[in-house]
This record gives sequence, C-alpha cells and structure tokens, in this order.
Amino acid sequence: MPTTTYTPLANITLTGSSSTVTFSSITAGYRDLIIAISLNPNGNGNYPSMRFNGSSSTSYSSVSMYGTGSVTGSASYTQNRIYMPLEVGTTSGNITTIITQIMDFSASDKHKSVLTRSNPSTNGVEAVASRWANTSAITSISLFDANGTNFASGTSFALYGIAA
Amino acid sequence: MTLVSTVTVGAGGATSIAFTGIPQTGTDLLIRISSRNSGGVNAALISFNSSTTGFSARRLFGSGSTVSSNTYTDNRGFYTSFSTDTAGTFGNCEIYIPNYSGSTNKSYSSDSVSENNAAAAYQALIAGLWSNTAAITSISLYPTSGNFDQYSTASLYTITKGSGGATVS
Repeated sequence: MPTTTYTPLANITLTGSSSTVTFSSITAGYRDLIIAISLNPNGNGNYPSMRFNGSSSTSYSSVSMYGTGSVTGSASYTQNRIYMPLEVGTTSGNITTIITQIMDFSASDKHKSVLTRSNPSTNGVEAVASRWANTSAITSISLFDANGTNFASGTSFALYGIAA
Repeated sequence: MTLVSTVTVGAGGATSIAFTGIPQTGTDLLIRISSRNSGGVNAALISFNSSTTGFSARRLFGSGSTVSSNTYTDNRGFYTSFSTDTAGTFGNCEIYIPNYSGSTNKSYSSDSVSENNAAAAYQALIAGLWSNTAAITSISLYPTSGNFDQYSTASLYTITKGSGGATVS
C-alpha cells in the first residue's frame, strides 16, 4: 500500500480581509508540511511572511533567488520572520501561487528547513531557502503580511501533511 | 493526493499529451512530467480547456553558465530535454495549479530541469497566470518544436484541501 501523501490538515479561504492566518495545534503525525497559498493581491502590494510557534525573535534566515522578467538576483535575510515571496502585483484577480515546504517540522533535534516557491506572474518568480534556528517542534504557523496590510478576500491557505 | 491519469507516449511519438474530463472534486492539481521532444527547442507549452489565450508568465532560467529572466505573453508551461541532448535523457517537471475548479483566475507554478550529459543543461522556474475564471476541465501539454518522444510520460493528480483548522485575526 503506497504511503498517503498530501493529507489535508486545514484550510481557509478568506471572505473578508485579514491580517493574520494561524494554523495551530498541528499534529505531529507527519514528517513534513506543505502550505499552498493562492494570494489575491490587496492593491497595496503584499509581503507574505511566516512565523513558527509565535516566535518573533530574529532567528529566521533566508536566501532567495529571483527573476523579475528582465532582471535576476539573489539576496539573503536574517530577520524575525520567514521571508517568502518577492513583492506581488497589486491587481486583484491576478492570483499568485506560493508553495512552502517545511521539512521535519516535528523534530526536536534540528533547526527547521523551509523551501518556498513564489509565483507572482506579473512581478516575477522566486525560490527561497530558509531556516528557523530553533530545535522546537513546530506546533503552530502564523502567516501575515509584513507590509502591514491585510490579506485580501479570496486569498486561500491550505495545510497538508506529508507522511514519512 | 489522488492519481487521475498517466499518459505514456508510444512508438512514433506524440504531438501532445492531454488530460480531459478532469474531475472537479479536488482543490489543486499537480502534474509530473518526464519528457523529451524531437525538435530543436526545449520549451513546451500548456493550454487549459483548449485555450491558449489570456496567458502570461515570468521565467528564471539557468543554463549551467548563464542566468536570465524573461517575461512572456504566451502559455509558457515547462521545459524538456530535446533532440540534441544526450540520447536517452529526459527532462523532469512539476506543475502545481491551485484552486483549479474555482472561479478565480488560474495561477500555476512550474519547475523544470532538462538532462544532458554535457555542460549545457537547463533549469527553469516559471510563474504563470491564465486570466480566465473558468474551472479547468482539460489540460494539454505540447512542445513548441517537434513531438514528444516515445517514453515521455505525464501524470495528473488532484489534491483535496481540508476544512477548518485555521483562525484569522
């Protein structure tokens, strides 16, 4: 019997604007987590970001490579959040797909590795590798807009578990 | 994740690989492709519901020696190995399409690599958008040059979201 994958754990589609979406009490019964986000731009430019277990300490580092459609680049960050995508477009309806993979999320003996692919098709394409310098098992994930604005209605967040 | 269909190209090759009658019971689609084409170009296209209009894409592309980024107004889908690559090598790709059965414009994420026993091999990351709110009921994959070679395969999966379990503030 093949191992079940992409087990749905939680999901929400916003019916109004919201500043933060939180997945809490995440079961430890999986090896990895995947979050699939369909982001509907809010008109102001979004900087989706992520924190684990409510931690806002400067314990997150990220390296990104990106293409804007004409320019390529790479950047690194050490800050109080997981860096996710390039600034997305501002036109409502131009949906951006963001896929984030969190490996060994429930392990208590290692820092946590995160891979993110972001696809704001009207702005560019980006891949990000991140690390949370904390050995705690991840039991909650908060997603918010570091631009200080809200996620727009129609934005959806789906959490999946990947079994070992 | 549920397998919908796997298509394997037979002897003589194929002009395209198509998935039709896609069940609307899932949330997202995942396509995994192993492909090689008989033409001289490694780019391949994707169409939804037989439509090739309303597409736009941005690409980040590496060749092993150079990197570039480009903007497209076509239905750029993925990259394959092609006729001048080492015989027997096939490119690999994964395309993720969230909310395929919903009523919003359709975004897709595509990661491709081509294989070649030489210095030139390619990796492409694509951010695509189909500005059409129709649910996706069929998908066609086709190279921009030549045909898919025998043994090229593509598998389509549906992924179904859960419900609840998230709080907003």
